[in-house]
Amino acid sequence: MSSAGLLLGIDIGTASSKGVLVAADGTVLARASRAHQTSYPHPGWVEHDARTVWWQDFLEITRELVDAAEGRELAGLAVSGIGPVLLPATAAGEPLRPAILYGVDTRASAEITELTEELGAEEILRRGGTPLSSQAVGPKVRWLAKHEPEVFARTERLLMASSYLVHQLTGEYVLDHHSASQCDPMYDLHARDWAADWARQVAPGIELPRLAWPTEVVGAVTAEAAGETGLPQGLPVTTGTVDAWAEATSVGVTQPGETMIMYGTTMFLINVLTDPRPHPGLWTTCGALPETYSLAAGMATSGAVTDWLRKLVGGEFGPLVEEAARVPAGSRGLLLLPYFAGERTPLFDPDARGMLAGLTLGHGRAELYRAALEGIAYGVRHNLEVMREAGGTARRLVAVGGGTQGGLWTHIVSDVVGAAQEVPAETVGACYGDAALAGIAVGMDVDVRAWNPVRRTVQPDPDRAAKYETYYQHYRALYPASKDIAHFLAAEQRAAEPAD
Amino acid sequence: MAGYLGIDIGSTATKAVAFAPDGTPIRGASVDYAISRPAADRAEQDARDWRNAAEECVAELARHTDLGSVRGIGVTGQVDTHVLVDEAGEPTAPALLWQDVRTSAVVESLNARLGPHGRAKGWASSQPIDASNPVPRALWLAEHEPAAWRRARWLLLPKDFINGWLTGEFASDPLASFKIANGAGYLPGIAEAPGLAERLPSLYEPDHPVGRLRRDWHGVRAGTPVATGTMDAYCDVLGSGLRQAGDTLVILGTTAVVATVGIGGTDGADVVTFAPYRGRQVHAAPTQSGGDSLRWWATATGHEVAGVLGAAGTAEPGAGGVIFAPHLLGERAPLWDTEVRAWFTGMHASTGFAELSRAVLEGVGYSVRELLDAVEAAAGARAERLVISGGGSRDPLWCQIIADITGRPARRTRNTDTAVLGAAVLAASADTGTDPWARAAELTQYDADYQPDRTVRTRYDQLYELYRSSYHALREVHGRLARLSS
Repeated sequence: MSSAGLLLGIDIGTASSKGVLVAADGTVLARASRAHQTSYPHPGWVEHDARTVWWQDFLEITRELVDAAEGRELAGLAVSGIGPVLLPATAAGEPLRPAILYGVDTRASAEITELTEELGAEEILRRGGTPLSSQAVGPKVRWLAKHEPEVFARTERLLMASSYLVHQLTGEYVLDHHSASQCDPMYDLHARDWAADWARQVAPGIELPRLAWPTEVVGAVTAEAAGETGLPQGLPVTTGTVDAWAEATSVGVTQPGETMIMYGTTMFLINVLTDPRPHPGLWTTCGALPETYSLAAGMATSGAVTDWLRKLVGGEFGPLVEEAARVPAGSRGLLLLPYFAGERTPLFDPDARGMLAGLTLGHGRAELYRAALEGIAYGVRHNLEVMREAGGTARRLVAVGGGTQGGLWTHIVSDVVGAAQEVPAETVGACYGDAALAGIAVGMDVDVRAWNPVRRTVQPDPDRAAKYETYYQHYRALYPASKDIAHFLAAEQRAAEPAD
Repeated sequence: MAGYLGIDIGSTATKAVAFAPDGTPIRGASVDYAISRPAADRAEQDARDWRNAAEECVAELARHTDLGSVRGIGVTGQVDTHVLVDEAGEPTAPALLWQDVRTSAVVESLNARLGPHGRAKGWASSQPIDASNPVPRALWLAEHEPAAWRRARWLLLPKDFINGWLTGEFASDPLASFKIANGAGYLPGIAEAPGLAERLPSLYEPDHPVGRLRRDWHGVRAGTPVATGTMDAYCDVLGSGLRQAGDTLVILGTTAVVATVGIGGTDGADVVTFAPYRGRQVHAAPTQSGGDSLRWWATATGHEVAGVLGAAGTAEPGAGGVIFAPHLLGERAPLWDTEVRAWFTGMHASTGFAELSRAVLEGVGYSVRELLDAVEAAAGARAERLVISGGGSRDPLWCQIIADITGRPARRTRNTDTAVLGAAVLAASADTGTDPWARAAELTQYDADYQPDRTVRTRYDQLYELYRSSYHALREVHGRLARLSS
């Protein structure tokens, strides 16, 4: 294995794919990205076409980055992608239908209930670390068997975005432990292996991929793939993983107790563990690095809510954020429940709804916007508290994602949580983590902290933190007090939707 | 040809309208004035501004209309606003507006000393005395403005101040003085403020002529009768043509008010029950924010009110499962809760400006239905149909929403300013001695009818129940939020 040379990292996201070419010391030499289409064929269905979206993006980004390398030696390639995803494929890795995406695709709700009853909620949680939800792959496999039996009959392999690309490049059928641990209920967290009995029950007759860690080289670019991609034949390819876990690696969230807070379209948190700590309000999975576990939490919205509010009140983000920064903590007595798409962790309530309480004639757009930022920050604190309850520790918080720009939001989160957050210099995202994982896999001495140093640390302000302490208690009281009302309204909204 | 002149001394403007003898408005005029807020707990007006505004309005009417045929003048106005005047009717201090709460310390000690038991005897109700009651105001003025208090001959309401200026006679009516008077006269509680009783004028019924115009006034002839008049909300009732038991008015103004006529009826705990007046007893329930909710929403989202209404019209009944509660200033009837706040609930990523805008209109509709329940209970009569007036009634969508949510057919008054017409009705009665309720029915005109849509009835019934249960569900959090932000 080479210890010099350049590294390629490529990540397939929900709305776009990104790639990066990185030197052995972590310097970013080139970046490339492609936007793509997500299809919504029915309410609750969210899909990607593997060939036209994933493979096409990969080809274009790779060519751009290989050109940028200008003939310098490439040492390794790693991929990551949205996950967990269900892509039924033939033994040759040919997709049989579009890929069914992660938790945003809610088609398998009946199968979630069915499998939970069949296997037992407690046993599922104990063995797999996570209650079955729209995030789980198992119920989607069951859905496929029931609703598209002809596709299911031909399905020989189950792929995700990263394992599909690895299959294309190397011919290897392999999946990383982290992605596998999101294939509830088919993976045993304690054994760190497939739960063979349950896998047979959910996916009878389907061959499961070999398991590896994202830090392992699992194959090399074949002659055929080299011809199609322009990559050198024989280039080492690693296992790959799910994007958020690659991103956590990119910002050095790798040690037990370290926590990443991703400020994206949704808020996503990953806390590194040494042992599995199943909790009914969170997702417990394998980590990206060997022998690690993680607790993950994901809110259903966040950037989506602030964007929604900005559209509602009109104008640009810049002035709105400035106005909101001048509003005192607590938004002059406003509370917003950010459950505009239901809530995932820790409530697992798809019928929760957004609420604005405490409105007076004195509240204008600045207060409304600040209340949205604060509402999401209360949601982050709620998740962190549940992580602590599950046995996680949060000794270091690292903030990443588009929402960290400008600073107001990260300040509010630190004030609400009462803890400092480190903001790293590099915000390329998951593909940068892929490059780091590739470097580790090919035997380079990769120090991610040195690759990606902390650019600033956001400290909580004691006065505002004290004020938010009180507001947070009221925020927590609001959901239980209004849950029944939200559920009724959610049912009304569903009834009003046009039929499929 | 002008028959009657109605004048309304409001908190932000004075309006005057010349009506034909059949109630058709011939011409109107309006003059604004300021509210002065020298301290956070004070809201004042210069009573001379009211006089000047009335003068300018009538001069403006006279420029376009011959007022020589006017047979009566009626004045109405804001209540809970008080001015001290000397023997000649000149103010001795700035007027204290209904919003002025400088007496809060006096009120607190009065309430503590009397208790509900003490207030049950000699007061309008056992409910706590509020900051705009003339008794604590007299106590405060005597202590803090002793010179003005000593020189004062009368403590007057705005319309009585104008009547005194027009006729030289000083009087008031029991309806506008409802916090310290009933049909039998002033209540014994006024004795709590030494010197107040002798500064309060005689009480006459609203249609009783308080006097006659002292001299020609922009064409109106000297000797024309001036009615005692009464408060704006009561004149709204008269100016809407309410007559039978169960006849009910919805005023969509800055606030929302629902008033119903009863033949008898009990004192509703949640509503204002006026003293009987010529065989009718009016039960009224005011909120804090009606049209104000709409204006607030437009401002907060950077739209014109017309834009909000246009967007609301594109959303379905039920606003996509979003409920708004309009308690932006706390709430008066029927909650009487200063700490409650407004809220939106049921919001989803797919909820848009249209749904939220419609939710604001519907929220005021739910609050109107709640008021309707309260006044019906007090009157012991069901409102078979509604009359809608006020600025908000100019929007047909809002009127339809009120009809749909309450499940009652609604008629809209041709006049937005029903209070001014009500004042003119009293002028007509003062002139001819006829029953004002009968005169009101003759003089009121309607311009649109709204039938409740039965297909949305069940949905609105469910949402209304949810609206009510949300109040209880959120009450505690709102109380704490209110205390946090105060």
